[in-house]
Amino acid sequence: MGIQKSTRWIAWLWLVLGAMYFVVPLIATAEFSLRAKKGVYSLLAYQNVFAQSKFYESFGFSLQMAALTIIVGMVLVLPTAYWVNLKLPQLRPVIEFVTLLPFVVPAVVLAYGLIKIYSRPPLLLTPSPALLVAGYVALALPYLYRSIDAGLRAIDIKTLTEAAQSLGASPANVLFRVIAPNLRVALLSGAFLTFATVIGEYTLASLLVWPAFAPYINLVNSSKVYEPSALAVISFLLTWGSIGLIQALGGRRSDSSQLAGTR
Amino acid sequence: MGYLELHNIQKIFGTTVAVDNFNLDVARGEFVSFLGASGCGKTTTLRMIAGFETPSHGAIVIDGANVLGKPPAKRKIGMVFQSYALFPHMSAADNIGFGLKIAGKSTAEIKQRVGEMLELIQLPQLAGRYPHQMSGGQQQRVALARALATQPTVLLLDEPLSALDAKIRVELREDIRAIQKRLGITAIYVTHDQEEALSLSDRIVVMNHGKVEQIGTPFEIYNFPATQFVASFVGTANLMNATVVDARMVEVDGHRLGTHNVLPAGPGAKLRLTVRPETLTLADAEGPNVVPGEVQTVTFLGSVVRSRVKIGTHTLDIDALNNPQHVPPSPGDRVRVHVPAAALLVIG
Repeated sequence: MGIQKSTRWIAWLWLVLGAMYFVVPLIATAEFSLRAKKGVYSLLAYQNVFAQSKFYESFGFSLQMAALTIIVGMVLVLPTAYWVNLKLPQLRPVIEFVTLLPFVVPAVVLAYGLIKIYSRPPLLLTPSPALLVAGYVALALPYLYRSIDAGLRAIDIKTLTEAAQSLGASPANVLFRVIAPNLRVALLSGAFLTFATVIGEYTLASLLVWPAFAPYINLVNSSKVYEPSALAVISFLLTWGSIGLIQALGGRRSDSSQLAGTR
Repeated sequence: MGYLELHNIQKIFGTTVAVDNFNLDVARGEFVSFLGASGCGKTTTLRMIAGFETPSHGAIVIDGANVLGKPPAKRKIGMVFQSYALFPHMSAADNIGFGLKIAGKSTAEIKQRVGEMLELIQLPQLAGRYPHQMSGGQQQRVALARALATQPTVLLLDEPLSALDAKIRVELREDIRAIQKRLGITAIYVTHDQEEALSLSDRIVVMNHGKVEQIGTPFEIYNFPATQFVASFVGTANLMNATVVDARMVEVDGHRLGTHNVLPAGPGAKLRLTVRPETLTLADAEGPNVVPGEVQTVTFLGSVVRSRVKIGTHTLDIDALNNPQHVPPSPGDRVRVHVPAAALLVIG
């Protein structure tokens, strides 16, 4: 009984310490962002941020890049993960290793590699945002692949595929009409993780010289006092909003389309 | 010439021969079951007909055309899976209409056909339900309707009742047979359940270790098993080692037994015989084909009482219909067993 009680106390202590580690800096940042007006709390820093056209431009640019990264990443990863799970499960460790490379290769190395190869003819791609999107796709691979792979493992893709094929469905119909709709949560998770990665990514955008959101925050950070904190809070809110959206959509899905078993 | 023909089908996985020298002609509208234990190659054969596996050797002909090389989507087959395989994100109606949508049918056509199919499976009230909102039996009915909606040339059923409980299984198998007869569709049914195969099929293909042991009607398969495997896998079989005495007489453990058919070997030859438990009876007196024995166990099976009797080196099961007026023997009782000459079969 005594041991149980002390274990519970230790668990709570660690929980509180962990929460403090994450929450205190956030509260401090939010509190600091409200101090732009001397002596009173105000939203002045936020007003200043929202008054800057650069904020919208950089955020808009990052949004576009995030959308493109999600589309390109999905087009690349979904059929690959589906095919590996369906026909080549023995290749799964290899694919998993490849998708983990962005964790091993630093973004700065990736950026220099891209610049080195694609900054001169015949592969002059540095002036095109396509190169930035390609870099983002590489950085988002671990999140995208794992989300989709987990989703694919949760359903019986072999039987669903064969059932659809027996009804005359082409491979594209099988993938987009049968498999993908059953991966909604996995695809959303992958999409939002990619979104968060792209919005917060600094190195690639900065070294490839694109006006993205993270370099803009860095720029503001070097010239303003309270606005960087306001921008940080806005970034957090955007990320939390994305996670909330995943939970809301995921919760709704579990009501309507779980895989059924024998009854 | 059958409607569905399998010619010398062989399937090899690595070094394992999963199906070997499989030949079968199925007539239009016929209901054929592949019966065998797990791993005997019955599902592999079905999957080759569907196009999910490619034979290592042989040809598959449907309605006069060799379908080898055609993908499953082009074979015009309907398939029902053990795990139902309904699309979880679609309602029952959408599942049934999926194949029609793929085929580019109009919305009105799809609606009409889906309605007909729901009537056929007697579940029109479940059109809007999702798979997880239906019972296993309902899901399998919807899966059957989905497979039939596109009017396939052959219906393939891969152990469709295995995941259901006993009562639903019996109900649904009767419905499957009734629907198949009404539509006149050619059907191949894979099962490891002998009762299912016997009750449903026009013909049964009994398989063992990738090979066909016997093809025949349920009556033939049960009453005239061609091999020891068929005799013991389909129903219960008593097996005996015998020595031929003359053309219609064998000796088993020193007891002479007459046979109805002329024996395929000469005097002194060793034969393997089988006899069904329900053909044996306990006799009151000595006589031809009556042998003495000792009761070892008596098992009450409801409608049947099974007595296990030791006769020399052999143990024979004897099934008698349960009769409350008739007290069954007890273990240790000395009894006489009548082995009808017509019930003794020589097996390969």
